[in-house]
Amino acid sequence: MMHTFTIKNFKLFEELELSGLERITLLGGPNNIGKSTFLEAVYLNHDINNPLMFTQHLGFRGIVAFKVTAESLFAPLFHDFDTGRAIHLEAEAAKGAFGLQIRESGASGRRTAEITSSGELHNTAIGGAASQESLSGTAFEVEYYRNGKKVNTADAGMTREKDGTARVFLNLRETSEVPRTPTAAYIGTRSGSEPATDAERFGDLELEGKSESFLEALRIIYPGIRSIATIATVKVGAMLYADVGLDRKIPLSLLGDGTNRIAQIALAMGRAHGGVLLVDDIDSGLHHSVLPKIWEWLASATKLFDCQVIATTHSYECIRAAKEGLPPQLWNEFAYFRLDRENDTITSTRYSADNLGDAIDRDWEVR
Amino acid sequence: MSETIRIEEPHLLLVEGTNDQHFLEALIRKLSVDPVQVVRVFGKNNYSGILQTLVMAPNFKSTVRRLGVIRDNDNDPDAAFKSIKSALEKNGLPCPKHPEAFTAGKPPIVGVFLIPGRGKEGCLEDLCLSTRRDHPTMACVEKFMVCVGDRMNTEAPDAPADDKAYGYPKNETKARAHAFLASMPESDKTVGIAAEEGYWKMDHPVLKDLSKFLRTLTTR
Repeated sequence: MMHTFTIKNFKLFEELELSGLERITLLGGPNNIGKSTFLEAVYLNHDINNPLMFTQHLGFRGIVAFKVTAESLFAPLFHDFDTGRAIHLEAEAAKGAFGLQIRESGASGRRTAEITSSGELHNTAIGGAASQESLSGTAFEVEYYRNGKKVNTADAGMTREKDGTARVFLNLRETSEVPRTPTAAYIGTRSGSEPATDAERFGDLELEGKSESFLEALRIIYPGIRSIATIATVKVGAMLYADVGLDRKIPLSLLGDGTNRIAQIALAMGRAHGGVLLVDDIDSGLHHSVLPKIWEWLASATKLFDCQVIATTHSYECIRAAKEGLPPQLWNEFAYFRLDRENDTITSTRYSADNLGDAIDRDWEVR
Repeated sequence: MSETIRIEEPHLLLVEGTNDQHFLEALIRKLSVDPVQVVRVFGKNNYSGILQTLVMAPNFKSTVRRLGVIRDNDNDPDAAFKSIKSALEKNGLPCPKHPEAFTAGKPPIVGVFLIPGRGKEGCLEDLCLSTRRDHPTMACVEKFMVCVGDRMNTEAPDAPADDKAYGYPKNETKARAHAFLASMPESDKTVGIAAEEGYWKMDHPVLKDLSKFLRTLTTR
């Protein structure tokens, strides 16, 4: 479990360190202060072997179509769009620190890559006339760190093939040293459900004997749910269906936004087993009256799946509900951080559950 | 859900309770100084807790330039000051060397005033009553208090302990204040609201030190 996360030169953060992260950590603060960006940074630092690590943040924010250029893909990750200053991310956890640096490749020893017709990635030194046309010209190095020591480097960038297809690549230099991190799952504000994927994830929960936790979560919103089943049909493939006492089972996706929101969170919890679940606007689509129960469920689920939850909110009711819903014996495993802007710097204020309770009991603003 | 309290002014004033809030807001209006955000602590033992909430609140660092802390001396002025000093220091705030003074240096500049002032024992009601020492009904108030004492001693010495209506007022000053207010045209005003109604004389010289403190608090 992470207790500290440090960011340098990532998006709107020139430098930020959140120390004192807990098993359940809630982030608040005004708009455009970096709450979602913090989650994206944490996710990026976990999703390190995925070439899409550079583009996931766009999907998290609901951006599905954009002009594919090196500028649109990579520069937004860097503070002030300045690709000349390396991104540093580091998580300090009980089992040690892991982090990465993303920097523009230097002139000397600059490397990039090309994709063969079979889709394999191959390192290629830049400058070769033959490859120049097919390469974007912008390349990055991703350095992987363990406990402060560099353990591997990958070359990353974008290629555009002659037919116009753009490909993002991430090419480890030492393939024998594939960096490993705990798992991470991200639920964005606009995350929609993918029926087949949901069915697979529910299947995983069933296999592990943990599907009851999923049902418990759904019943907070929809107490009438008797059971959930994966049903595969020729026409629509595998989907989750709910038995709500009607003559026939109905697709889970038809049960309303709140039910589907909590379904996404509960399924992602299974994916984050042993790692971290990141939830943007955790109360999105959820009525305030169910929020204390949601927090209570989250507390038990983080134990069941041995994972950490870092979530954001704008809602005072959600923050109050966290204090109300979390069992007192878990208060020391909860922290609330508010991000603020002082001049041009993003700062943080950490509230323990007690600090937060005192402020809320007095009706004081904490967001 | 009630509306949340947020820091809105560069000048903050912490006071014990609702009466203090209304009284001081009336005095601040009388002085025509810059706006002050008055924050109730709800009890003399809660200063440290509310200071922590304040210091952590959004905009505290960026907004608050001066912070005043007011509480009653009660019967131990030294203990009252030590208690406030401890609460301030526990929350990383400076404390002036003595009551009715302000710290120097970087914001937030902090001042402490202990009512009734000048190291005297007492509470807000002492200060209020002092503004109306010469009021004609004050003699009636004194007679009333004597009468209550005499009656309780002579006619109810064996009153049942569980009957709360039998028992001399624990705080004579508060009893006097209420007795005085009972003689006003609108008899149902609290000590704090009475200040807003003009039942306490808000330009009385006895409020000079407190007024000076509030003027300093609102210095830009």
